[in-house]
Amino acid sequence: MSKYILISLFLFSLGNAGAQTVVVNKTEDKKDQHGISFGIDISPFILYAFQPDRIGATFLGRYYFKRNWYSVAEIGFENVDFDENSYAYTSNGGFLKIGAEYNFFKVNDPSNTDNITAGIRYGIATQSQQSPRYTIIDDYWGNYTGDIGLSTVVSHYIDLVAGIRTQVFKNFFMGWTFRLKVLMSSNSKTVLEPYSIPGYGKGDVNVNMGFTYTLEYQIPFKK
Amino acid sequence: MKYVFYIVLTIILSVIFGRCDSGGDDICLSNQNAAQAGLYSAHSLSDKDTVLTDLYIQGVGNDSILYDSVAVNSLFLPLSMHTDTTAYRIKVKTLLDTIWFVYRRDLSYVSSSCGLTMNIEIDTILFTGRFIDSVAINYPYILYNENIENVKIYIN
Repeated sequence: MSKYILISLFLFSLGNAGAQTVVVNKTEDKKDQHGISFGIDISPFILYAFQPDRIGATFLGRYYFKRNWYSVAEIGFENVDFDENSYAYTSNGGFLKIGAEYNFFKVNDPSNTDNITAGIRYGIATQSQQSPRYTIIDDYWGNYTGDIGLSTVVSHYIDLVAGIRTQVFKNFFMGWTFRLKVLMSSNSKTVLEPYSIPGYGKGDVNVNMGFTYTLEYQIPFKK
Repeated sequence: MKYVFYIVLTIILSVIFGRCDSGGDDICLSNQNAAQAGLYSAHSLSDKDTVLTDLYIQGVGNDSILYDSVAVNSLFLPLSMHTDTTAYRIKVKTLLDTIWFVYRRDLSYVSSSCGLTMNIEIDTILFTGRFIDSVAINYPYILYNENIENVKIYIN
């Protein structure tokens, strides 16, 4: 219990949530976490303030299908548009991720619906990208400029996910996840590689780190 | 106060991880389309550096002088990305030679932050023989961030 209080206070104590969770409420059982949840990752909106050339959104669905196991699906989009000295670039794309999460956080307190989870997602992304203008610098003969037309890129990747999640109000959850993303394949048909792969991130590396901050609403689902 | 703490922490984490997975701040190189040529004596069995003094080099069709009255033992000769052949006039004292580079160009991706480059593969080198004895292609590829001598020019 003390460990739980510590984690609650450290990570989750928004408003009165930290105080409430230490009260054992016998009338609620663990079925409180049964149900389907729908949520949104708000970290892209925070990032947008610092990187206005990338805009995206991620929505997720979560289903508690077995003791301590969740199935999770995420769907989202990301658009990139910038014009720098070396090249201009646009990309419009979307992604789908499906996977499962296991809740490691076991306490006897039946009102406790907090989770510490680890899981995996498989992701597939498709994007349409082009470079309307690129410039290669040559100070003697003159710069070379050209353009690369629209092409479609399909990418596959795996997210290894570790996260924490708590109920802040009745049926409202919030959570953080940290992710290690591993690119399996990305098949650009032109010389241009994706600047950013939707749902994965930087396109020219094989491993990325990620962070999400999600707000979820759970539709009650009584057995 | 707790609200502020969590909001700030979330913003910091979002930005740190978001920055990590977007284009980095690589140092980008320019003028990567130059053939590197070493100057060697034609009178030595083994490659022996030679220094040309009072050297002028100008691209054919280009108004600006690339080397102007210098003493060097190696040359950087930019190959035009607009054509498949680049010619240079090389003058040493009163002797004038012309050297032609014939090559293939291949557009290539460098990185998300540096964009594109033009890789070059030297196919043939032609030259007049006033003071240039012979020319050898040592390494035909001119690639981004490679620093390899492409051509050996043997001087009479």
